Amino acid sequence: MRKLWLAALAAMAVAAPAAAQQRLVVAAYGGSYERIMREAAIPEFERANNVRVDYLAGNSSDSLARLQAQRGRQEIGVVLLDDGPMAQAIALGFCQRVADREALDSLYPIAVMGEGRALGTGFGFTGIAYNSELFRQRGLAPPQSWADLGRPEFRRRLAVPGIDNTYGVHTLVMMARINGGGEREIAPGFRAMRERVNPNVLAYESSPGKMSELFQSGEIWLAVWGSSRVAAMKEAGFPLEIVRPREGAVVLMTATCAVEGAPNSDLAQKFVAHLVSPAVQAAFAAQYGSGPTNRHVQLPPDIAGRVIYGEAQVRELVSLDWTAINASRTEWTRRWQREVER
Amino acid sequence: MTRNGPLALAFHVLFVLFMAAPLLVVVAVSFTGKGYLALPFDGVSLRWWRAFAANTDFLASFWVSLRLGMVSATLSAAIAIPAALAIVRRRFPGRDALAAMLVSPLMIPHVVLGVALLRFLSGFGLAGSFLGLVAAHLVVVTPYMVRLVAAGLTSLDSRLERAAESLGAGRFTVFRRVTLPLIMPGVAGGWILAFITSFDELTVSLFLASPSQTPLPVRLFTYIDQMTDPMVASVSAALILLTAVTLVVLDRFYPIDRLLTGERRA
Amino acid sequence: MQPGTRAPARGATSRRATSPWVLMAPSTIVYALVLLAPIASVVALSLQGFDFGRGILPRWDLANYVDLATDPLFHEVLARTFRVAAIVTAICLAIGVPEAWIMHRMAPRWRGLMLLVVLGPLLVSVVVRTFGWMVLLGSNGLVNQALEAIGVPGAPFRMMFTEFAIVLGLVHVMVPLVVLTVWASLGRLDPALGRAAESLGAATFTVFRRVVLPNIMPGVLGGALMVFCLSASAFATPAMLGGRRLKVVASMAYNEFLNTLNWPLGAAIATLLLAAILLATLLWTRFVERRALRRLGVAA
Repeated sequence: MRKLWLAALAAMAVAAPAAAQQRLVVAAYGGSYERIMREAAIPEFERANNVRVDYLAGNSSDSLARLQAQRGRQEIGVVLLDDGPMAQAIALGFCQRVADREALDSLYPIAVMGEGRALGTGFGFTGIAYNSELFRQRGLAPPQSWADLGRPEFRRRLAVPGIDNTYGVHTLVMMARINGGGEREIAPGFRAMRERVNPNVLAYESSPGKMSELFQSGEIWLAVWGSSRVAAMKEAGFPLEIVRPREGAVVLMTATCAVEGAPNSDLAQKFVAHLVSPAVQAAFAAQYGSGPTNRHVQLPPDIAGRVIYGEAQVRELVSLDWTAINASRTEWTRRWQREVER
Repeated sequence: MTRNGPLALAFHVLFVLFMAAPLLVVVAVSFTGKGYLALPFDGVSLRWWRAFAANTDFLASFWVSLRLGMVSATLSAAIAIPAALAIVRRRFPGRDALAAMLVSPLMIPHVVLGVALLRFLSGFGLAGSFLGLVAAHLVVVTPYMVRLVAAGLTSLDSRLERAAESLGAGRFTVFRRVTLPLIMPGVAGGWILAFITSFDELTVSLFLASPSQTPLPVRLFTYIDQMTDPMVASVSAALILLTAVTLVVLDRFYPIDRLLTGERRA
Repeated sequence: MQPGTRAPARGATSRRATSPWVLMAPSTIVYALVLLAPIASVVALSLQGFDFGRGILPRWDLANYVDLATDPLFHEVLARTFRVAAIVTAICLAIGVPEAWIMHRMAPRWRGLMLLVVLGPLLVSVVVRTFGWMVLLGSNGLVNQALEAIGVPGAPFRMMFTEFAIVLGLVHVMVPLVVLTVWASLGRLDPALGRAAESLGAATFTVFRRVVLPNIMPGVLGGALMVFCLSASAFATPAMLGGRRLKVVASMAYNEFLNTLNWPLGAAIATLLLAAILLATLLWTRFVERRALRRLGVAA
């Protein structure tokens, strides 16, 4: 009997995995982004620094919520957020100043956020993605305008990310803008979503993995989505195209920062510098379709033609007033849950 | 007693199919070679089982759940045995109220428990720690432990203990050498049920997990939320098969109805 | 000492017996720390305010409750939660009670196996069981594929993210509990009663209705209450099978707590859920159970 207890205790002790290596927790997007991170960015970093990287998948809202929940006891070392949520993270004090001056200086000025607290890692835009094969088969005209989301022939064939996702926020604001409102007068946007877009929506899907499943199974024909996500699916062989609507496609910059108060902050800083290094940027441009933020990245012409390349191209996109958005986001979330997502 | 007629048997077969269908389907789908959820009509493949074996996150979660289950079940036994002894064998003011309190977590929604513990433990900086998870699981599994140990005690003949006392044995010796061995079936059953309950627990753990301490059901749940690829099926199938094997082996010593209620089969 | 006595006697046990308070101490302390104190702190939290930038605001009022009372979304969620719970309970009783009875009448050789198959799923995590239903009910899932194969008009149907899916998943999760409680009651039933009724010429169904059912009623009613309460507070199954648009009270609390981070509002929802469950239990035991048992001639 006694031997049994001792054996059980010993088993418990042994079962705890030996943690001799250092650990870095990275909170970033899931789906195709996670796959490319695990292939292109993480293995090299792990080898070079003898560290194990733990990947916490979630969209910007999830990661921001995690940072907020663990304030004072951060476990996350590096976080990747969309530009809007990153502005909020900086305002809430979650980001350390970037230590690597060289990395900072090699970026386009617009890619440096919060006086050097966060660095942009890629440019993309939000537009309307559609299954080109299905559209061709049914003889449908591809969407050209944000208002096309309300076209009757798309009934229950549309997916829109939820308000917790940056794409969802972009949708709401653009619907407001084309109906006479904007970030500071959002009511027209809610009205348009509720009355004209809602009947077409099959699912309000914020998860990138689920969204690509919906496309693959043919349940949806079109969706509001990001250029990088679409590029990743195209790369995998799926007939997906993305349109920059007439009224403008919204710029979306992915940004990263080392978390204030996290363990292993020197490793975190190194990973941030690694993410904006030319090699990683080129890989993401090729596989994820995100435009590089590092000035020194040279892309072959065929890839350069597919991504947002250079400051001039970024300026063509619509950019939103995130200060106003962040101030009202909680209220918008409440309204969205009650008026739109029912 | 008359046996079941054909109608009754048909109903029973449908019922069994209903219970087994989701589990069988998960096991079947785990053997697909495709990149999405499909039955393995094209041939059995171990692709997603290999993916599971190579996935360090899920393996780490498996160990977390295992340790969590063992620690919770053992601690639960330590506090439940004396409590059951007091409740079953003694009369004292407030006995019924305390007995109700011990069993009360069964009635409390796990969401409420999760919310409460996250709030309370984060005040002490324990939210997301292994200790926090143990505390939560302790509350969740102790009712089962108390019930089974108490059931074992009520069928215990106290004459044996009184005989030992009258022969001069001290209080603790009587407990250790007479009482404990006699209630061991109840304790063992309670431990097993407590362990399984802890291993399967999702809702409370969802509130208290952190990147380094993520029990297996929590990781499964969050993974399914992000995408549903066949690796979820292979992890789930592994859990199903593990449970099935455990139950079949256990059934010889501890029939499942006795495990779940403490009462013997009719 | 008289033969045959086995009293957990009040003071007749050895004078050196450990005080019951010492025996109860460990569990009472643990429960006070890990159950009672946290729940009290949650009720307290529900009275406070929140702002995303500044966190929890130190004010004390019933604003969150007023908020919920006037929120049409919360009313819808509440109605959905209890509607689903009631339907699930009814179905579980309708199929669980007969199933327990049928298994009870089986040859012992089969009984053990059937018990394992029917009760075994209780020991598999709810995530796994519900995932099985996700696979079955998807648009390209197996049920739809089968319906398409046999040419049912209108197939494939959209079954995922509907109330139907939630009910189906919850029935699967809960019905073994009904089988279990009824089984336990059946185990205490004297077989002589049934045989006596049969020997007097009663048909099987009559035996069930007039002899068995009244005697297992405590088990049936207890099972019904348990299923209702567990279904009303269920989180994982509604979240996975209903999706974001079909919230129940539990998933709404989760959303506020972990996504919006409005802990005070989440605490208010959780407190209301707890109060509703306790109230339902109280009403059930006091009115339904007592009256039903009295009417059937069983001592309450």
